[in-house]
Amino acid sequence: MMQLQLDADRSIYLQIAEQIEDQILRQDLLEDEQVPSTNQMAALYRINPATAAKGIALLVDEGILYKQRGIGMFVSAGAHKQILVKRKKDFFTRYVEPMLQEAKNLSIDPEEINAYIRSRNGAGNS
Amino acid sequence: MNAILEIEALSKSYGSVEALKSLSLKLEEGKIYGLLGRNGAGKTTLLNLITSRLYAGSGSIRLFGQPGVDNQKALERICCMPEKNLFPPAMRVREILRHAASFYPSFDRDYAEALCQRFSLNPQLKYKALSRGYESILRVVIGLSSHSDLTIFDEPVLGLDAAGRDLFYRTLIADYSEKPRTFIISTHLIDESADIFEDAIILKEGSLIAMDSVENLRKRSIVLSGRKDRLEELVSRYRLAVLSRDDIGRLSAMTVAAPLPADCLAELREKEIDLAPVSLQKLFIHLTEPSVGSFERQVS
Repeated sequence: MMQLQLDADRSIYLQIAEQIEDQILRQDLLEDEQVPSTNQMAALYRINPATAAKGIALLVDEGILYKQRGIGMFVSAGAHKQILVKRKKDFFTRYVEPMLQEAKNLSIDPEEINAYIRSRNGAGNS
Repeated sequence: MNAILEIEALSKSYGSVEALKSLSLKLEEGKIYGLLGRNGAGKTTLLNLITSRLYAGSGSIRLFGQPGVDNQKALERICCMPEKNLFPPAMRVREILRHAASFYPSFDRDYAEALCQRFSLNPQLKYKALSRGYESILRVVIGLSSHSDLTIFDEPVLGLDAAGRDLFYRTLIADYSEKPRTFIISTHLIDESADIFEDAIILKEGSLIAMDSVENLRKRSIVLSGRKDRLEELVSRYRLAVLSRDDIGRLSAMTVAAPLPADCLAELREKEIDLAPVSLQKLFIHLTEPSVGSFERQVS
């Protein structure tokens, strides 16, 4: 499902870019498929169209979207893989580091976390 | 981009009260501007000067590249919906709209009718029978339907409930997307309208204190929160300008001027100091605080 709420704590245009990426990642938007227009995004999220355009421009710069003159924006071939690589790189700083910080506050031993992850994986495989 | 409005050193006094103090600004074509300021900051005076409803003591106004004062040709391209409209009390909404259609050259009557329906405004009602909220809706209907090159709303959502305000913002965005033009929207409801604006104009005591994109304005400051002793040490070592602070027990949250030096950012995690952006509304409160700077003195 597409997330329809924006977070007041972060740049709106970055969130617009992330939400399009999320859709590509979950294959809700396929490669060579047209993405919603700036105006549609602006209406959906109740934001200034220039902000939505900035989010989309960011993805064009990164090569995730491409522009077809007079028609609109499309998902580039290889976009899915590109986002996957980028997000994997972010995964540790964005998710694991805060978790380790909280674990430290709670005096949870790293070995305890390892054991938990191993047991989860074990359950998943059986 | 083309300048639609250029103001140079504009001043206006009411007796001994200086409402505007040598204000200069330039608006570009095709943007939605938020005009923000506390009560008495000079917002309404500024709007009245732009539309020649008031005359300045000194300074100049150019509209669409032409001298703006009493320039009928330029003023016809502006639709200004003030906080208080003085429509005849016995006039029906339908008649008011008909007058508006003859007054504004690009007025779209079909769209006005569609908007009345969308906002459940009964065109048969007399103006005096409208509640505060419906009075606002009438102004919204006229302002949007005018399709003027410059549309000005002074407190457009006054008296509207949350659903009505949301409908206004959505309608504005949809109409603006379809027919891009310039809007100036003066409002006190900053949190809910911040995402609508491309740029914000912030007035304080008759002077322009900030004008930039909302995105850039929000980058000007940041909230640091964590242990008070660690924060105070960090702030004084890096000489950060503290705009405001709240303390509770051993903890403190400080709003500081951004961007932070890279070395300082690198230290935050280790010192367990959290970092969060500031909303436009909070920034506005800091910027327009009469005693701004007193905290800086305390810390330094």
